[in-house]
Amino acid sequence: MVNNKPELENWAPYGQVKPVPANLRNWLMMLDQKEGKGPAYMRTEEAIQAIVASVPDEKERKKKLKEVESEAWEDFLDMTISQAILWAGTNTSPEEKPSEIQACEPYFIGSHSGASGTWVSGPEDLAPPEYFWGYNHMATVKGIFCAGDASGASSHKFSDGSHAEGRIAAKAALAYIVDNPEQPKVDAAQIEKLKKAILSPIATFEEFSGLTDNLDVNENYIKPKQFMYRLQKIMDEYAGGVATMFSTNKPSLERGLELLAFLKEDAEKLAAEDLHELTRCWENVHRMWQAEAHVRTVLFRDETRWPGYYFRADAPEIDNKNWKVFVNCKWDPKTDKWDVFKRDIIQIVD
Amino acid sequence: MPSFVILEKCDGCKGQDKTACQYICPNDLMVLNTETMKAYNRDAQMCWECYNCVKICPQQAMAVRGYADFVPMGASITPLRGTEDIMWTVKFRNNTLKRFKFPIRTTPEGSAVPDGGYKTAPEADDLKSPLLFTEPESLRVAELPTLKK
Repeated sequence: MVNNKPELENWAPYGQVKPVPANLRNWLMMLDQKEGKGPAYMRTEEAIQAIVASVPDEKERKKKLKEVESEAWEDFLDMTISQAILWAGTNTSPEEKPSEIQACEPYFIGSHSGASGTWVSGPEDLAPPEYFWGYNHMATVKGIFCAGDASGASSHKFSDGSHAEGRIAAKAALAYIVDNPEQPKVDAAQIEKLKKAILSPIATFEEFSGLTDNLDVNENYIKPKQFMYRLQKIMDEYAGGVATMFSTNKPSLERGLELLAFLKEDAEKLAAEDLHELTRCWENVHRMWQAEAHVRTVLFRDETRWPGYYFRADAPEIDNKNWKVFVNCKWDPKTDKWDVFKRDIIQIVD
Repeated sequence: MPSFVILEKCDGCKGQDKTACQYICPNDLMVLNTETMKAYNRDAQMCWECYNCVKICPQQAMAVRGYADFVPMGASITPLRGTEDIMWTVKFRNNTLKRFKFPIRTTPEGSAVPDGGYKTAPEADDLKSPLLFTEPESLRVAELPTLKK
């Protein structure tokens, strides 16, 4: 963190902001680790002692220490209890011992602390025409409204921001419903086709599970857990996961797309023993689509904008001239084609 | 691995249509074995350790063990949820005990006022108005901030 500080200048103006953005803090840590200088620690003991040292009275100081210690535990006990188990399991008192940290496998959390998510309409009174199409928070698909992690917007909205956004989206959705009261015409044959597709993993299991000695090993189908591991492995190795220290490049992403295409074909052969596994099948199909959208977007964006989240080793710099834009992608079910394109960032306040 | 049922304490929520842990698990993992009338986690590897089942179990029959592939054994974290506070008991591997109590609500159950005493502007009734319930008063501004075009 200290030795690599000059690196922050390469990511100006973001690197000059205080506090240093989360991805850049990650990035400085990764630079050390790539050089073999691990492990990394969060110096909780130094931070806590620094807070406590500012209290002059000894009795008050002890009280303050208890308070800060309690806050440190509360952060985890409120939201990431397994981290508290790890502290307890490794006899770590944060006021005495530093806490080891390491970047984990990346995951999609919409605009919780990244900037990804569904492209939604802005509010009528604030959004320029390019950002407004009738109903606040409506996706580009008519009648679909998004909020929280589902919508791409502020990259630090967290729970209360998501709650506020949910209220906004719900009100706009009601306005849409009132404006469009007619029952949509849906083809009954289409519904039957969808029902069959949804239940097909159960049918696949029933048809083939009797052929082998092991319900998980069968040439005719793949179980959702194996499918999940396969997707995870593709994303990890080709799309900037832990295996490559969060780094990727054009050939890796293209290879990832090839492997995802095989996976998509095999998704037709998912098998479910019961309703629980059927849920698992579909959640993994949805993950697969999300993963593909991600890979295509990272491939399209020919620069590195968020080092520490992912690094494009073949385009290792931020390129504000060409890439200070949003990147959107869409898939057309009629042609089975993806379209990846830029959207302007329109500054509405100075 | 992660969440597990202490069989001795589990009473299957006395044969109700769903056990508390089945109801609360966000990952659809808890199941009632209708023969033994005990709940079980059908796929412990998929547990996120969110502790919802541990917090809701009326018999304190649910607990969590850290993931065995990286957490040394012997530690435990036990919540006890009251109406206003949650009490946590943290036991280290070396038996150090820590107890923490955090508030979980600041108003007694059933007493929260939906509008919090804030008036809603009449324009908010218009579905096309960006004003929401209790606004703009609850935002502590006279009117909703907007761009002067």
